[in-house]
Amino acid sequence: MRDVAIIGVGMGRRWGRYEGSLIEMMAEASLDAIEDADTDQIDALFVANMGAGRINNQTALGSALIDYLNLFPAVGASIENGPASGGTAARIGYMAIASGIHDCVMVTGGEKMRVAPGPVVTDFIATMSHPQAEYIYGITFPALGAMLARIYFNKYGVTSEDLARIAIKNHTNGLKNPHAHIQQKITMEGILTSREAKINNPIIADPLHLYDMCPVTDGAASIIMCSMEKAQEISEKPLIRLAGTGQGMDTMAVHEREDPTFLKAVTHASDQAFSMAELKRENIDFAEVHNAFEILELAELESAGFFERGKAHLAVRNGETEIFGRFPVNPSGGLKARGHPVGATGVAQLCELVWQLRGEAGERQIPNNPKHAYAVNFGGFGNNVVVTILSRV
Amino acid sequence: MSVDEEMLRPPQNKINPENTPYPSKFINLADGTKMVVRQINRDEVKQVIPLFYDIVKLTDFQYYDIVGARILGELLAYINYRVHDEYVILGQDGNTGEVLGLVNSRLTVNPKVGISLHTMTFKRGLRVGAHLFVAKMENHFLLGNEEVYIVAESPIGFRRWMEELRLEPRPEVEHELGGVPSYCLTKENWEGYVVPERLFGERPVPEELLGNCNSNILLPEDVVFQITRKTKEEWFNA
Repeated sequence: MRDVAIIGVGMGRRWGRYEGSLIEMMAEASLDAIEDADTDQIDALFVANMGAGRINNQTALGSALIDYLNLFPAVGASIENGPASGGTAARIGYMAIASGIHDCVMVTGGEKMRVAPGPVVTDFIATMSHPQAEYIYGITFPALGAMLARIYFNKYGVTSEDLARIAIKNHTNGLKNPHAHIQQKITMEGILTSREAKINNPIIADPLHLYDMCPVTDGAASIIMCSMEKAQEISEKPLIRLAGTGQGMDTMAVHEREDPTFLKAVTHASDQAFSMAELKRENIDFAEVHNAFEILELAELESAGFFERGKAHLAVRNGETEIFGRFPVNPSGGLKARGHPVGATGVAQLCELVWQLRGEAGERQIPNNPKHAYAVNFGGFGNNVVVTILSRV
Repeated sequence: MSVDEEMLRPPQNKINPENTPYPSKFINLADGTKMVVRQINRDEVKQVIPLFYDIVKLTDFQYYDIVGARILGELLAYINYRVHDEYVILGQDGNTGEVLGLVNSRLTVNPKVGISLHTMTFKRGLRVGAHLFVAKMENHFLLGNEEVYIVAESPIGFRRWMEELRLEPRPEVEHELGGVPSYCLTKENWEGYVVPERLFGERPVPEELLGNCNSNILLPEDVVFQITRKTKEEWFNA
């Protein structure tokens, strides 16, 4: 197996609402990555997307993007794996290079969701749930997040205030990220402790409030990977090695899990990635985690092994997960502030890891020259999870 | 006042003849801003009007053009005394005086029934409109209205007023904004649901905050950017 490096990253314009087409949006991110890598010699392109067939009435995105960018003779395909599509596409790209099938692979994720009304988006996301055991009974993902939060509250003493702390931290980080959809300061008084918080931050699915959830976002992100050998030849930037990748699975229906607060797929995917990277948890300098709901930030950090079970919220209370804390989490603002265009999220996480490891993250740069970074891309409600570890060479 | 002018002016406001202004209050927004909510007079309305000459050009953007055009007409009618018993309430950042949103309404279809005109937010994402709309409803009921007729011109408005406030449909009512479906906020709904669940704000407003707002109606530097996240130049070139 060959070593693989990420040599280019890009996210196009600020996420939020995109007026053009899905392909145009993904092309902008791809061109940014090409410019960053300073090469357009792409052998293969994998496009990560979840819902274009339904929401944008377009399929075969790999073909469409290669054509739009005139990347011929590159070959391509679309990868759909729910919200883990981005991480999965990057993992497949890694395999293609490591195995020697391709030398240089572009992975572009994109989702244009804001063209659809809220109920359509909520339903489209809910189609990831178990069709017979969950979906037909009207389950939505906010409802699943709320049930997980309720168990966490009862079992570990997590509170709404803890979730608000995470949201405030992520909004603060998002204010420093030019790509973030949500660039808005929030305060504990404004979203939780004042009387007006009832309107400012209403309950969406008890006990989760509006600010405990990610927004619906249009956005795209792109990375270019190549063999380490080639990267050493052509790249003038700090080399970022894809040191570890792992994928884990769990039951589709959440109620079939022995302990819903234990995200087995996160543990399995993390164990694989750490083993491959020959690193320990304490070697990791920061993480991007898939906080579609803020409660997932806690659950994923614990299931990944960065904190003891039921203890991550204590680290949040101590400020340990802030940019200047002991273990920064979601310096990009995470899904909460950067946004969550489902197919793009896993790729955007890797963009953030690369920017941070290169020291190019601007105002949100993590101090002390970080060397190893972790990302978890969470598919379904934890039934299909991809973990990636990047290291600066 | 000339005789010609006098014959054109509306009759005296029947239910608020002294023009007692809405009692100012302040509201905590999600970002920590203390939003002062206060009624403004005709001279102050003149200061806000320039915003709308840009807003009416926001075509195909969440109905800002139609709502902006109608507000502009209503404000011009107000400052020129060509509309009966209108009032205008502003939401301002208590520290800077920056204008965050505006609502307007008329008190009397008849003395018991008020008629809601418009709500517009200039700084979005902080639920400014939700707070201001309820404030103008508060003024209707403080002044003795027993019902308020309401229509929506955008899907966002429909969700905020008709759905969130659980308004009653009144299809037989022809609201003065046209023949679109009318809804009604009744006193019973106001007292039973809206006041305990949706009405917020503290009184009195600290002198410092009120002073900042009275002395400084600060217009957003680029209201097009505030609303669309694109600069005026980008928006109009596009």
